[in-house]
Amino acid sequence: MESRNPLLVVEELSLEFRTRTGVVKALENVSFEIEKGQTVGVVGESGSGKSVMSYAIMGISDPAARITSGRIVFGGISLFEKSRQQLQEMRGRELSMIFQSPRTALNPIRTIGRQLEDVIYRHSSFRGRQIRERALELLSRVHIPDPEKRYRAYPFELSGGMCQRVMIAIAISSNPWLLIADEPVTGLDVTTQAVIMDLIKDAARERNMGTILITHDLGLAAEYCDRIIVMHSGHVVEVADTEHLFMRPRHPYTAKLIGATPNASRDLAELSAIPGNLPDLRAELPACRYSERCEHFAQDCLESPLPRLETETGHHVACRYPL
Amino acid sequence: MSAHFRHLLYVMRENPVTFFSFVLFFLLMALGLFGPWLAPYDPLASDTANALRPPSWAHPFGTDNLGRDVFSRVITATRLDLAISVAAVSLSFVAGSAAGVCAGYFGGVTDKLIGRLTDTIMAFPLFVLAMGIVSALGNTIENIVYTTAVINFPFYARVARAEANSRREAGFVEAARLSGNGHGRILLFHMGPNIMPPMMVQISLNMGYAILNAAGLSFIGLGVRPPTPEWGIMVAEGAKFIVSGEWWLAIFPGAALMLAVLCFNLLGDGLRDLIDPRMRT
Amino acid sequence: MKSDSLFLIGRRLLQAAPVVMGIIVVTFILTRALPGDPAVFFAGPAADEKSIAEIRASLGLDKSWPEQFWVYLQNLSRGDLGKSISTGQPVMEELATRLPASLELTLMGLFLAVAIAIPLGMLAATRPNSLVDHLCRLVVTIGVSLPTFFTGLFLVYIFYFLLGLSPAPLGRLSIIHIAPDHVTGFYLIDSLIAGDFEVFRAALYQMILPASTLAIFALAPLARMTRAAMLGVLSSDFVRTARASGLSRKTILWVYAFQNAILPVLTTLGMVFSFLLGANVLVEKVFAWPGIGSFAIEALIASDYAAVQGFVLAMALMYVLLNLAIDILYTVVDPRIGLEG
Ligand SMILES: Nc1ncnc2c1ncn2[C@@H]1O[C@H](COP(=O)(O)OP(=O)(O)OP(=O)(O)O)[C@@H](O)[C@H]1O
Ligand code: SF4
Ligand SMILES: [Mg+2]
Repeated sequence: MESRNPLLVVEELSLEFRTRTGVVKALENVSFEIEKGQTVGVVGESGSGKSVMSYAIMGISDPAARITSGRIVFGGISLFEKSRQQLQEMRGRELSMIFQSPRTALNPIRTIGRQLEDVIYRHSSFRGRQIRERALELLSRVHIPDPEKRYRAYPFELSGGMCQRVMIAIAISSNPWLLIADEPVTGLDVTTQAVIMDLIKDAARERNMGTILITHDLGLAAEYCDRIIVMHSGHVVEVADTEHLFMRPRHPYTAKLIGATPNASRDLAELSAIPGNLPDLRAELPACRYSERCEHFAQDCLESPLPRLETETGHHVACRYPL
Repeated sequence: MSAHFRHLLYVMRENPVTFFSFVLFFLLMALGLFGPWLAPYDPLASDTANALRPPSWAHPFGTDNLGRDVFSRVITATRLDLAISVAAVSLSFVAGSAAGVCAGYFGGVTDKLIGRLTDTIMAFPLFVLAMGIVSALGNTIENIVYTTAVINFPFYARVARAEANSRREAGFVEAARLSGNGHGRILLFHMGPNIMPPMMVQISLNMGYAILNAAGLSFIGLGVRPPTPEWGIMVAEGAKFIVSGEWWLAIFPGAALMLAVLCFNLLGDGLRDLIDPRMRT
Repeated sequence: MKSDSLFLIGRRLLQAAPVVMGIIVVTFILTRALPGDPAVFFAGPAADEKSIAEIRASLGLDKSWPEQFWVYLQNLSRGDLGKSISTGQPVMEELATRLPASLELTLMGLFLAVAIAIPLGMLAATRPNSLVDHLCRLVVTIGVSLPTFFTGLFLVYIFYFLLGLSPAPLGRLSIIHIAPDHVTGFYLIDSLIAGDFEVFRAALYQMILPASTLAIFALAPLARMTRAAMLGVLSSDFVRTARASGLSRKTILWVYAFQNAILPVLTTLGMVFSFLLGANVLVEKVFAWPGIGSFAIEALIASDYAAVQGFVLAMALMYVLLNLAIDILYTVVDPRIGLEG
């Protein structure tokens, strides 16, 4: 076996929210790894915990969130051993994130130039004019036409696609090792989607940057990702190389997802093909959270622990009766 | 209904403050209804030999400069203070919701006119406008009621308008229209009940303001005349004695006023929780 | 960009015109809706029919309503609000000499309220369910329930009678001091201009209690709004972005969150000012403050209609002006304004 030195290891991560109406078990024993330069897709229905997981990696979880077990190891070092200050300095420098709905993700009453400057000032030794030059360079890097003029624009004066470019510029300003893109192209028109995705891909390739691409769009994931993580109700149910996953899905949920997506590019969000709802994460949950919806259900599927198998090298599935 | 009731119990248990406000509310109501019989002394009977006595067992709130029992006066005043504000709030509730619902339902010119009216009222500092209206209408208790109603009118009109507007296209309104109901019937029987919950919250939040407003007017000498017991005027009469240390004359009626306002404000917050748990601030 | 905001400001001014018109119409109606015949009133108890008719003619009350309104407008444009029957002076003059006292007090109260409410609301929002948060909630609940005149008297009892820390609640300056030369009419400023620190101190001491009374009243809505706005902004997408970019807590709080949260607070400020102008009347009575509020109360009791209506008009116009100022400030602060309109 080759010596492995993954960029990010998420190990048995469990996270819950303490709310007024009960404890929401949003993530349970989530595990996966990312290599340098690799692009990993995370797919799953709405509410499956994709964003919650990304926030946990970034260290920007909601105050109500409690990590109850597990580790997140980044560049060989456990993030939970870092101080708040250290984590703050890592964010935007080594770990970056971009979000859905870029227009609201930028400060509405600050020019995009200033917002970019804020981050550069924070993470680099550039000062004064250099900051501005670096910011302009980044704006051209993400192909924003006429950056000098856009520099003074407010987010509401730009289109969603332009704002997402600005977000990318902010995210890659310090050449991070890992970029998490949480549904970066949802809500953008198809041409813009392709442009933005290519920008992310190029930026990742240039820097040998690891990328987590969270998406509803299986087609997008198939096109851009080396590996795919399938999440359901806070569980990782299957992880495999993209080709493997599409060729031979092992988890009934994955199979449903792929089966329900005839021309791979249909959006998961519009899928009603999978019957049943996501379980209530506040209730007592069975070992397999998909059991209520599963066609292959058998009584022992409810027994803990749920087996987690490596069906072939690098293809993991959490199911008692994998396909 | 039982779901509402269970939710009510839940809110009460979760929020002792709301519970406290309910208790206070019933106490106020009791004092308003039975105050004159509960008061140990005649609130108007003076006893100059016993003037300006500090609180004691015989006179728990002390006596005023004419030897009248402050406790009895504070209790008796509850009815008048509540009556003024209840009357005012009822008037502005009825007028405001009628105007607001019409504005929201019909839109167009009706909406514009009513909007202009509320805007004009709101363009004044409200207490100042109240002073102006009382001076124009004449210095009587009824006019205090009308005035307080006028300055509270915009709040109801605005809430009712927003609610009616958002329900204009709602299914039940459409259904009522299709089954041949006239505008009047739709407004009264279909819109009316549906906008009640937010209006209730508004009423309760508004009561406190109405009480403050009416008491403020009588504090500056409008409406209620001495020797009628009323909290605002009692504070005004007691004010002269504060600087010489006879605090009980002004502080007790003032505290009663504060508790009443507090009660309605807390009640309003509680009701809002009850109706919409998400709107907690 | 520059001419853009000038244009917007111009448009705001135009939008204020119908409001001002509404105010003028209402005050006109109020002056004409008198229960009795003002002519009889002005003529005094000893007047006969003839002199009443004369006075009616001289007041223009024999004309039709539109004519009277026209005259009213003309008088207003000349700054003529009629004569006060209790002092015999033009109402305009009476108001003008007393306005600085009221304004100084109101602004001081507002300043205190803002200085306390905004940090309190921010602290409460950044530490939900902490002690500060509960304190904030308490202040907000109690603050809106306290009758201003009661707060004022309570403070007088504690700080003047019991503790003796405060001067007697009798106006802007105790009799041993002489008012500074009139420049702005604000004693705090005029005394500094005159270089008389003794008077400055005395005026300040005199003002602390009434201003605090107003501040306690205005605190509640401001703190509540600050807290709510701050909570909203702190959970917004762009603050999440700022956190994900590793910006420091200080930058996030002050540059990202605060600047956005202050916008709705600015709007609330207008409403608070409306309440303050009313509360000011009560506070002036409690502290024997020689402002336009006290003047209006005396006028009310004496049925001095012209004075009362002049007072109402002046207050309403002041309120419109303040709202205008807030709108303009908003236009300058928020780049998004004007796009949707
Ligand atoms: N602050 C919170 N408090 C309580 N529950 C939360 C909180 N944030 C998220 N959750 C819950 O955690 C679960 C996962 O949410 P998450 O936002 O990660 O889903 P997602 O996969 O990103 O969905 P989407 O595709 O819609 O973005 C949901 O059930 C959600 O209700
Ligand atoms: S464990 Fe059982 S119920 Fe769950 S997915 Fe597998 S087969 Fe279906
Ligand atoms: Mg999400």
